[in-house]
Amino acid sequence: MNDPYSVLGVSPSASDDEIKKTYHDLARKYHPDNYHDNPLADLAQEKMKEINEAYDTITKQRERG
Amino acid sequence: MYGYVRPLKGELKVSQYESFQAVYCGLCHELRRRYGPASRFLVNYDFTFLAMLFSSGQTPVCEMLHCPVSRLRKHRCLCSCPELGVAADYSVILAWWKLRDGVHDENFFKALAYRLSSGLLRGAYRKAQKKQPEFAEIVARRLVELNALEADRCPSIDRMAEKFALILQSAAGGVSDPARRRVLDELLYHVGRIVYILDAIDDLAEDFKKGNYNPLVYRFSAQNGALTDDDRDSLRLTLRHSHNSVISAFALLEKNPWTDILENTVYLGLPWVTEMVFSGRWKEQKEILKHH
Repeated sequence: MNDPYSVLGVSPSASDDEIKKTYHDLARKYHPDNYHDNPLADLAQEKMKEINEAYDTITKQRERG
Repeated sequence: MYGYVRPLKGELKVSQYESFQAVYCGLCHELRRRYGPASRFLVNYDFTFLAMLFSSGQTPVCEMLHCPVSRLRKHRCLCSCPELGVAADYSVILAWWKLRDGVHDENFFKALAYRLSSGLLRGAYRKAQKKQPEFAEIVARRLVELNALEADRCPSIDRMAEKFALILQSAAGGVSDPARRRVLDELLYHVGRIVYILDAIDDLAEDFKKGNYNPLVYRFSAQNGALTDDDRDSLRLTLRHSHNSVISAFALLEKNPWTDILENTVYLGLPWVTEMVFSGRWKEQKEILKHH
């Protein structure tokens, strides 16, 4: 998997709040509703998966300290 | 080409505007390098957008060069690179076909001017055709189809706009990554659709006066070249659909050095130009922008 911080487009030194906000913005951007009946829906879904995985990885890393 | 695809200057940062100018000037120099000084007149905003869209993502390198319009000081220009080359080739191919189109469409004297201009550009066209044979072939084929529909006085805006959209879509033909290619195909298809429809709205009054073909005349039975509120709503709806498709596709592209300017063009520039065309102020605004 790519560097999770670069997937979200944030710096590794970003605060938890910044990361959460960026994640929410990206999730809204690539949400399946925006690609309903769109020929690129599968690519948006892939992107969404990548973003979810990156956010999960960062959250778990930070929880572990 | 048409100049509808441009950033909204007032919303660009100074550094972004300078970068946009550097690509525009870079395209102008690329046209001269490849096709001689006369081809510089073909430089346009639509293909500047294309050059930025096709960027490989590498950090751009610029150089200071003299501009033929203001010779006293040097301007920052993007150095020759593959995306500028492709944009220059496509500019020549489309411009030549547009001139050839004018030969058939206009009255004797104007057609003569188009014939002379296309004659002057013939050498450049042949060169560009060799570099981009697929694009040249698709442009030629689609324009023949467009002319046939025009001859039949086709009343379907969708059918007409599709032919032009397919021309612009084929500009992504050289992109090797399949996912990126699909995204660019979709984006350029809808940009092409928007450009065709905006041009039809912009030219409606003049086409009506001259008796030239315009799909809106046949689709809406426009009275004296003017659209009713219902006609406008219908056009706004189809344009909004294409604009949303452009936005969805654009969101899937990887970032490149020009993303900020492209974002401005997609999110702000296109809707602004659309409003100007609908309000009948586009030609006046274009002139104002030329002098700033």
